[in-house]
Amino acid sequence: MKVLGYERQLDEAGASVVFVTFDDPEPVRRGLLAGLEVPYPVLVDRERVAYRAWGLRRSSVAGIWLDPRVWWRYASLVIRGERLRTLGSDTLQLGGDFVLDGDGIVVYARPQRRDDRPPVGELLRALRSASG
Amino acid sequence: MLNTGSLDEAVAVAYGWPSSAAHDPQESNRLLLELNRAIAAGEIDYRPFGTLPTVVPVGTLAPALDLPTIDGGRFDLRKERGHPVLVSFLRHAG
Repeated sequence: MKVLGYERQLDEAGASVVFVTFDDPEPVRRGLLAGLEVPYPVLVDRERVAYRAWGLRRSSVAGIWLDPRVWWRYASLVIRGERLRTLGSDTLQLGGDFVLDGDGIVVYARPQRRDDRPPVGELLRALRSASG
Repeated sequence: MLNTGSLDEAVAVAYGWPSSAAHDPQESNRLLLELNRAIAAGEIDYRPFGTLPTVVPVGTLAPALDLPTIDGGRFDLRKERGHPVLVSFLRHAG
């Protein structure tokens, strides 16, 4: 949800945004979305039908929890005094970011390999390019 | 009688079953017995975890995305034609 806070740039690109989660809606409201203004739809895919259809796989335990970058990210949150969220139902399911053009064609695909996400600038560039 | 107790949700999903089956011993028993029957009858290959998914390729039409929204609505990606869309699949979000 790194793009939150970039609404002006998204509007300039004429882009819309949609988030997809596989978790129960209530913990998502209490955790991830708590205190956030999310002006975009958040979809619920409990059976992970869309995750599979879009080719998003599950990582291995080692791929996530033995990655020092993951631990560093959590340590940084603690140092900044941020409250750590409880974990969802499956910590190994990976996400991903896709940009579609106006015809519904995928012009950018970035599946997660671990706890990585592309920089917002990269997503905005893809969206601007897709808006032609 | 086969008794699976409670399956990990991930196992159920890997079999292509609803994750809710993981918490329903009767349903998971039924699905496992049906799977065993189909394998024994040669109706399906025994590849419970299949092949790893391939991420949707650039240059192709995006797969369907027609799901409920967290606030009780419905979203259909097809209605977003005409402008660029960022689709962001989240990891664990609890």
